[in-house]
Amino acid sequence: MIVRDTHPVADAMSQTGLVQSTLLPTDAVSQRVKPDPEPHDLDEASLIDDAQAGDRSAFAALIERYWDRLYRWLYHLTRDPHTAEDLAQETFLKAFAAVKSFRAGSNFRAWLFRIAHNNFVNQRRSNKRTRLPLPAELPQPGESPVEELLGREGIERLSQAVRDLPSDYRGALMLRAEEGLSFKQIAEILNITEQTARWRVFKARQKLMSVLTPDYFPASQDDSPIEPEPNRNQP
Amino acid sequence: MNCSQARNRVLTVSHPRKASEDVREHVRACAKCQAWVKGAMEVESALRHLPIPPAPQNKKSELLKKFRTPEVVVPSERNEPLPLPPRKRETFWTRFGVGVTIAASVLAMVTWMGQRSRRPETPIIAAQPMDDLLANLMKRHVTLASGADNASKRLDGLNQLAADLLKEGKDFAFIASDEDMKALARMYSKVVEQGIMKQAEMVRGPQQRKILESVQQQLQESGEAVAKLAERAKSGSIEPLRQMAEASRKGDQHIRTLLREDAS
Repeated sequence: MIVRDTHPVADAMSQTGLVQSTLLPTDAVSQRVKPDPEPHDLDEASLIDDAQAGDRSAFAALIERYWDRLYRWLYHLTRDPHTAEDLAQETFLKAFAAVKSFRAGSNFRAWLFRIAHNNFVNQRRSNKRTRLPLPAELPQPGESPVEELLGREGIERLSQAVRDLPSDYRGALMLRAEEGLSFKQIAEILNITEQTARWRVFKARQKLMSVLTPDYFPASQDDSPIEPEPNRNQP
Repeated sequence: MNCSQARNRVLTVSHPRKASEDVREHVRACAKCQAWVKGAMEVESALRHLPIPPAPQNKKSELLKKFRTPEVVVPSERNEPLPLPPRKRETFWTRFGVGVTIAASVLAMVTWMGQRSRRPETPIIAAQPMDDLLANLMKRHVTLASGADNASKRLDGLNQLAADLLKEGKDFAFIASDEDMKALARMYSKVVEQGIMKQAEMVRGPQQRKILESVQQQLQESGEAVAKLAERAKSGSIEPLRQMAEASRKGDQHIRTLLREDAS
C-alpha cells in the first residue's frame, strides 16, 4: 500500500526543497490524509481476471472498491446526488457488460472513469434542454485537519468555488486532486489531449486560488472568467 | 522570474521531479510566494475532503445484492437439474424466459377472467421465484388469481406488472442481449395494450376516476423515462425501449380519452 501525497504542489515544494519545512507547518496535513489504495495490486488483477471469466462476486468486489470514489467524482461533475448515483450504477453495469474487453495490465480505474465520463457526457447531452439541478444541500463538514486549517467558512467557500467551475475543469481538477491521476491518465479519461488536461487543471487551480487567497493573488484576476483552452484538439 | 510566473509554474506542476530549479530559487527568496504556496497546498489538500451529500437511493447496495446473488439452477420439466450456467448472460436469459412465460400466463389469465367475470376455481401454482422480477410476477399472478374479481383490481395488478417489466427493462438495458430486450418490450406492450387499456374501459364505480388517473400518470412517467433512456442505451436496446415508450404513450393517450369522455 502506497501512501500518496495529496498535492502536486506539496510534492513539488516539500520534496524538492522549494519551501523549507519550517515555512510549511501545514505539511502535516498531507501526512494525515487517508492512504490511496494502489489500484494495480495483485488482488485487483485477480479480481478482474475472475470478473472476465464471469465471476459476479469478483465484480461485486470491484464495485465495492470503486463505488464511493466514482460517486464522489460524479457528484462533483453533476452537482446532483441523484444523477451521480444513477450514473455510477450505469457505469458499473456497462463496465460489467464490457469487462471482457478490458485489457489486462492497463489501468482499470482509468477505464472505469472513462466509461463514467462518457455516461456523463451522454446524460448531459440528453438533458441539455432541461434546467440544471439546484446544488444539493451539503452535509455539515466535520472537524478535519483541513478544516482546522481552512475553517468551516473556508471549506464552504472552497465547495462553492469548485461548484462554480465549468464541469470540464471541475472534472479534470478532481481527477488530479482526489484520484492523483497523471495528466496523461486524465486526458485518456476525458478524451482530450494531455496539454488540454494540464491546462484545465491549471486554470481550475488558478481560479480557486483567486477566490480563496485574494491576499496572495492579484485582485484583477478574481472574477475573470476561465479563458479558452489553448488547444481543444481531441487526441 | 517574477512572482506571477513562479506561481503559474507551481500550479502546473504534476510531479516533484518536474519542479524546475528557477522556480525553487524564486520561492526560497520570496516570502509572499512562500505564503502563497502554503495556501495552494491547503486548497489542494482540502479538495480531497470536501463534503458531499450521501448517495440518496442506496443503489450501491442494490447493485451489490444483484451481483452477489448466487446463480440459480432452474429445474426442467422432467425434474432433472440443469447444469449451472457458466455465464451471467445465460443465467439472465434462463430467468428471463421463465419470467416472460409467467407474465404471459398472467396476461392470458386476466383476459380470460375479464371475459368470464368470475373467480377462477384454483389459483395456478408456478415455480419458485428466482429473483426480484420472478418474485414480483408471481405476486401479481397470485393476486390476480385469488382476488381480482373486478376490473379495478385487475387493472391495478396489470399496472404493477407493467411497472415490474419496465423496471427490468431499465435495469438491464445496458447488459441484456438484444433478443432479451425485444422479448421484454413485446411483453410490456402486450400488458399495456391488451391488458391495461382493455381493463381500463371496464373500470366502474366511485373510484373509477382516481384509479384511471393514477394509471395514466404512471404510464406517462414511464413513457418519458424509457424514451430518455433509449437516447443513451446500447444500440440493441434502443428500439425495444422505444417500443416500450410507444406502448406507454398509447396507454396514456387511451386513458386520457376515457377520462375526457367520463368528464363530459
